[in-house]
Amino acid sequence: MPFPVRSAPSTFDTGALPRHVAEAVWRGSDVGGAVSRTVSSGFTLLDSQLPGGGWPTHSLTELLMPQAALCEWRLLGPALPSLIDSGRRVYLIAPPKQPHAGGLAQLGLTSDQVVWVGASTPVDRLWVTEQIVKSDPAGVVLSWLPQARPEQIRRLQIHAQSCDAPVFLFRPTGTLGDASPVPLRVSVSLAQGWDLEVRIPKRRGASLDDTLYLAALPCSLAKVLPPRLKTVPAPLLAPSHQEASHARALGRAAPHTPASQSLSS
Amino acid sequence: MLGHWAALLPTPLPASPYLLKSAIDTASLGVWALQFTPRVAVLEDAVVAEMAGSARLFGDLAHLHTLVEAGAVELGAKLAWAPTGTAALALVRHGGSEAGDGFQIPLERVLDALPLEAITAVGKHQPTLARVGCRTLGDVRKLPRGGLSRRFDPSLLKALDQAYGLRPEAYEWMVLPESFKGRLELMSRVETAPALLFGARRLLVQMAGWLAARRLGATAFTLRWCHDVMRAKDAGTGGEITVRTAQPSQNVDHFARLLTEHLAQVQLLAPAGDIELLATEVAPLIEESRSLIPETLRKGASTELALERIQARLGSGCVRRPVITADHRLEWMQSWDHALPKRTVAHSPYSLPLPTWILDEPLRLIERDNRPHYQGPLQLLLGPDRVEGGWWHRSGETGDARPLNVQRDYWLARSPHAGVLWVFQQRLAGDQTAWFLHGHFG
Repeated sequence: MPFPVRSAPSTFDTGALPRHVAEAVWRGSDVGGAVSRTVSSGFTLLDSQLPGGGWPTHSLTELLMPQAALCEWRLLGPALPSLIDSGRRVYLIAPPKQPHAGGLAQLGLTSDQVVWVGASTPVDRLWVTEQIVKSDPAGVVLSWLPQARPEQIRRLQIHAQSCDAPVFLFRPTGTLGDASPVPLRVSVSLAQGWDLEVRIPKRRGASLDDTLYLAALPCSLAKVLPPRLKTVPAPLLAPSHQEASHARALGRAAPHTPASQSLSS
Repeated sequence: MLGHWAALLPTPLPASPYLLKSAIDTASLGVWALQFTPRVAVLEDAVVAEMAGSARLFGDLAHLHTLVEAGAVELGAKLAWAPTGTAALALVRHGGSEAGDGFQIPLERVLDALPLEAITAVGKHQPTLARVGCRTLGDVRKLPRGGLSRRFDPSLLKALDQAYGLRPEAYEWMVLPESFKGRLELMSRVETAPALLFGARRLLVQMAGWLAARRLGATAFTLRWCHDVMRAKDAGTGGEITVRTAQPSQNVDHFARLLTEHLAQVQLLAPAGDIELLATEVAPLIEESRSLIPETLRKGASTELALERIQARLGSGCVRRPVITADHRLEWMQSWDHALPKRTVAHSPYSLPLPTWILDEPLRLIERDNRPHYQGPLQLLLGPDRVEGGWWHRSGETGDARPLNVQRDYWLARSPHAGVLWVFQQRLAGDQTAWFLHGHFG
């Protein structure tokens, strides 16, 4: 009696599965596909490593940083123009420092596109984030949640599944050791020069062991920085205690003074 | 002569935890019903409304039925439908729950089965009619008309004809009041503020009805409560809270959630017996045109409501929006306002780079070897960018006001651990010359 020949695991054909199952299956060696719409991060290198080629919507993204107010806008700045077109807004929930509207305007955010929601206690931060995420805002949600338990974040993740805006949670790098229900975790720190050192400890699909180095010059500095500062790390300059009497304009490096030699000695 | 009539009979709410002392009065019920049709009249102890003309506005009659039924349940009123107003009234009084709709079977058969008291003009002659053997309206209708008109007053035959749709009905229509004020007496004394919400919700439904009839949205409403007589001497006669919304709204659920948040912060000084609701500020409501495609619904509308809820719970100052002013000093270049900006202000005249985060107060940096340190030695990249000004600006009007004049040389600096910083050195400060951290290019 002939038996149907079973296909070997190597020639496993996802086409034989029901469609909704096939969409949810991926190879362990691949970068996962997008489950929902993604927004390009503005960095080609980072896009190639993010599932779906960009920051996900309908899901949370955890950004882990060694300290707050370090490089949030340097990382997210290139993605902002596509996130905030046609009057969409950026919701800042409990940022660690006062945002400066002038500096944000130089990133392309007009003053009516910035909403700063202050909340002091961890419970309030979670509640505010949940309320905003639940209301499916147009724009992008940035929330600083230094203290949150996994089940609280899982609750947010469930609400985020019906939210069409990208939701970024900023958390300290120290929480990397804890389990997190967030499907995409990105750890960011400063590297040499203007680079950011980016690791992706958790993503859909194969894990990424390499470190990405992104050239993330703050957008507002790009046009005033002289070329010598753009490429190589500038030599250490020491300021003089005397007043710089002839200094008039930005773009001039501090003059060499005996102080710098005294330091190197 | 035949229309589509609804009759609403106030009944006390049976299943509520805080029993309301009296059922809703017909006048407020009528005001609420005016949102569906302008043809609303008070008929004896009930409200009748003719709704055939409004069917198209609300989609279709089935949808209109659902809306009215949902509202009637919330306000505590019994509802019946019939082709004439008198018949609807008779049905709402004596029809069982299955007979609430006079359109299921022919009107004659529905009415014939009802007792004499269903129509007041007939019920008056109940003893006489009962002696002739009439127990239902159908029995009366079978009597010869000539005899009926001679032996009883003409109103009996008139009411009977109106109920069966043989004679036109004429009512004095209700007029919508200019302002809204709803009052409610609570069954039991309420000792905690959040418990007021149950009664207030009924008033909110009434207010939403009034707003819908006037095509207005409320931007502020006031809830007042009166303490009952058994109060402490220092408690006063009552209190009130005013709840504001950013956008004119008719949404009962949103009103109720805002009121919940506000009431949660209120402490009643004495038990309250009465509550009163006023629509204090109203504005014309611009209704959105319905679209076939759901995608075009305005997004972000529910986020505005969410922000209002957040403001209601955490205080109005917690939602901040920037206002940019024309100043070169970093601190006074922006301010934060809790209200939505009225108009988009012109961009800052500042064309040089600005940090994205600033410190509330500049942080004095320590110096080692004449070099500022912040999480490691600072590497000064660009500078100086001189900012001077503010001689006209003082921190207050009183004597201890200090001038807010600044003379600073800003530098772009890099710290090995804290990223790109915006630091400054005080100019012309003599011995006070020092380095300060003012912002982050985060």
